[in-house]
Amino acid sequence: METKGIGSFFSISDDQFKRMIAVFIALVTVLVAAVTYLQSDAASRDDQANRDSKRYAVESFGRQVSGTARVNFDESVAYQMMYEAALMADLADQRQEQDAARRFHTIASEVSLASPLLAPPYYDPKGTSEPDILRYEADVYLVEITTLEENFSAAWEVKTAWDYKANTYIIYITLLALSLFMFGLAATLSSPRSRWVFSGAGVLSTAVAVVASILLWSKPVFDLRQQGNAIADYAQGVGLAHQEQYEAAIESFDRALAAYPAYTNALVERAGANMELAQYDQAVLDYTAAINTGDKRAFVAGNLGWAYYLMGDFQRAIDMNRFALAASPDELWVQFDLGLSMLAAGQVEAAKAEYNRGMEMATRSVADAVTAGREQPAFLWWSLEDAASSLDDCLNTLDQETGNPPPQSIQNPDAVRTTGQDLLTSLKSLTVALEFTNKPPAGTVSGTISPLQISEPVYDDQGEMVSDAEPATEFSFGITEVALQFDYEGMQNGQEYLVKLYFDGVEDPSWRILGVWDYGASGSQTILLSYEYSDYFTFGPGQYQVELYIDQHLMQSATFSVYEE
Amino acid sequence: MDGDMDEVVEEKDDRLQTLMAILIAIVVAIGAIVVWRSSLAEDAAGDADFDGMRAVVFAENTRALNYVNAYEDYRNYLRYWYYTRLGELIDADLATADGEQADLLDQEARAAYNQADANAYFFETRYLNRDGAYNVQRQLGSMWADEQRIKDLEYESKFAVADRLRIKTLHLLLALMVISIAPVFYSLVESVSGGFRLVMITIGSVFAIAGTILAVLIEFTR
Repeated sequence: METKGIGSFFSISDDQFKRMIAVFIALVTVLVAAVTYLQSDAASRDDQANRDSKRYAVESFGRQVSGTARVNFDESVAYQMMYEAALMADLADQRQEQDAARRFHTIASEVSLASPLLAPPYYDPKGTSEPDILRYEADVYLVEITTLEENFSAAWEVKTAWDYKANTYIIYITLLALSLFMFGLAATLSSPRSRWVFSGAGVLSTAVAVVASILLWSKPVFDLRQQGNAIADYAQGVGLAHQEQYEAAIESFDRALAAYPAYTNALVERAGANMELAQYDQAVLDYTAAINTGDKRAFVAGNLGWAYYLMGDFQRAIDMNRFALAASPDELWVQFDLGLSMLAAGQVEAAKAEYNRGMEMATRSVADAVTAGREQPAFLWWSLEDAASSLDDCLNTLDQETGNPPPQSIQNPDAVRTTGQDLLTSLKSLTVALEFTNKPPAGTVSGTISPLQISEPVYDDQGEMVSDAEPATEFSFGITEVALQFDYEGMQNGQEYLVKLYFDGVEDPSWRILGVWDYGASGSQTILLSYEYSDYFTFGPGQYQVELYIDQHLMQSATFSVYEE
Repeated sequence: MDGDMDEVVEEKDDRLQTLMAILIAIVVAIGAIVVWRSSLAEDAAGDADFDGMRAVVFAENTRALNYVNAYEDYRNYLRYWYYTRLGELIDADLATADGEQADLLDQEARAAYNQADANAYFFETRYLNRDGAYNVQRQLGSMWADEQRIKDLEYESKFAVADRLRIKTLHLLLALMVISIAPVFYSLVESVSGGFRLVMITIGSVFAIAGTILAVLIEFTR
C-alpha cells in the first residue's frame, strides 16, 4: 500500500505538479523574506556595533589628550609653582629672611587654589607628602579611557560576530534563491524524472538553508558590555592598580571576573597586581587562565615566564619564554628573561648563547634604525636596562641568600655568579656603546681601574681636599658631596670616560659626567659628585650606584646608601 | 448538458486564475514598495551614523585642542599671577622698610612686575573673573560654544535617529514577511476546490491587508 501511495504521488498530473511547485515557490518566498529579515537584523547590529566601536575609539583618544593636557598643567605648572615657592620659602627661612619666607609661603598657599590636584583628596596642604598624582590621573581620565577602550574592544567583537552572521545569512538566502531556481526549472520541464529531481533538489537546499539559518539564529552573540558591571569594575581596578593600591585593585578585578569569569584583560591585570604583591602563585594562575581564554599576547606569556622564574620554577619559565618568543620573536626583554632563566637553571653555556642572541638583536635593531634614519624605540633601552637589573637582582639574591627566585633553587651558584657578572658588564657596556656610538663596544680597553672607593670628602683650612678621607658605603642624610677615588694604570689620554649615578635602581641623568681622559697613564684620581652648588639640596635617603666607563666599557662600579637617622 | 457545465466551470476557473494573478501581482507590488521604503530607511540610518561619527570626530578634536590651548593660557596666566602677587607682597613689605632695604625691595618688586608683564600677553584676559582669578572652565565652555557655531558637535541625537531608522527598516521587513505569506494561500487556491478556495483567498488577503496596514503604520509613525 505504501509503495502504491508513493507511486501515485509521483504520478500526479502536470497541473497538479505545477500547483504544488507554485505552493513551494510561495513558501520559499516567505522563507526568503524571513531570512532576509534575519540578515538585515544582523547587518543592522553589525553597523551599530561598528559605529559604536569607532565612537569609543575616537572618544578615548580625545579624552586622553584633554586629560593629559589637564594633568600636565596641574602637575608641571601648578604643583611645580607651589613646590618652587615652598622651596624658596624654606631657603629664605634658612637664611633667616622672615619677610621673604612669608611672601613665598603666601604664594605657595595661594597657588594651591589654581588646581584641584593641590587640594584634598589629592593633597594635604598641612602634610609634607607630594600630591597623589596617580590618583588624580586615575580620576581625571585613566578610568574613563580604560572604560572606553574596553567598550571599543567589546563593540568590535560584537561587530565581528554580527558581521559573520550577516554574511552567512546571505549564503542561506543564496541557497533559497537556488531553491526557487530549481522549482522554476522543474515547472518548465516535461520529463517527469527530471522535474522530480529538480524539485527534490529544491526541497533539499531549502531544508538545508532553513536548518542552517535556525542554527545560526540560535547562536548568541557575546557582548562584554552586557556582562553586569564587568567593564566598570575592571576600569576601576586599572585605576586602583595605577595608584599602586593592589589589594583594592584585586578586589575590583574579582568583581569584574565574577560578572564574567573569562574576562581576559581582568585576568591579566589581576595577575599583574598579584605580581606586585609578590603573590606569584596567584599570578601564575591568572596568567595561565588568561592564556587558556585565548590570550596569545607575547607579554602575557613573558610575564607568566617571569612569575615562574621568581618562584624558582626555571624549566616552566624557559618554556613560557620560548612560547612568548615564538609568538613575537623581537621581544628583547623576553629573550633576556630566557637567558636569565637558563642561567638560574644552571645551563650556563645555553644562557650565554641566549644573552648573546639578545645583545645581537639589540645591536641589529639600532643599526636598522640608523640605516633607516629613525630613532630607536625607548623600549630597546628599557629592555637592556631591565635585563641588567634582573641579572643584578639575581646576583644579589645569591649574595644575600634571600629574595626571589629562592636562592636554594638556583643551580650551580658559583658559575652563575661568575657568568652573571660577566654578562652584566657586557650588557651595561653594550647599552652605553649603543647609546653613544650606535655600535657595540669595540675591542678592549688598554688600562685598568682599581675598585672605586667612596668617601665624604674632607677639606683642610685652605679649602683643599685632604686625601685620607675614610672610605664608606653608608652615609647619613644631609651629605652634600661624595668622592669617587681610584687608582689607574695603562690608561691613555684621549680616551672617553663616563660616570653614571643610579638612585634606587634608576639612573639620574643629571649626574652624568662625560669627559676626555687627560690624567695620564697611571696614578690616582678623585671624581666628585657634589650638591655644593646648592644651599638646599642634599643626597636623599636611598640606594646609590656609581658606574665608571672608559670608551663605553664598564670598568668599575660601587654602591653606597644614604639613610635617615 | 455536461459540456455546458464544463464550460461554466472552465470559465469560473479562468476568472479565478485571473483574480489570483491580479492579487499576487498587487501583493508583489506592495512588497516591492515596502522593500523600497525599508531600503530608504536603512540608507538614512547609514547617513545618520555618518553624521554622528563626523560629529564625534569634531567634538573630540575640539575638546582635545581646547584643553591643550586653554591650559596653555592658564599656565601663562599662572606665571603672570605668580610674579604679580610676588610684586604685591614685596610692595606691602616696602611700606614698612627704609634705607637700603627699601631700595632692595623696590628693585625686587620692579623685577617681579616686569616678569609678570612678560607673561601678560599670553593668555585671554576676558576669562579673568572680577576677583582677578582665571576661569579656565569658562574659557573651555566659550571655546566649545564658538566651535559649535561652525561645526556640528552633537552626536547622540544622530545616533538615536540612526537606531530608530534601523528599527524601522527591520519592522518594514517584518511587514514584508507578513505580506509574503499571502501568495502561499493564493497559490493554494488552485489546489483546493469549493468553499476552501474562498477560505484560502480570505486568509491570503488577511495577511496581505494586515502586512500592508502594518507597513503603512510603520512608515507614518515616528
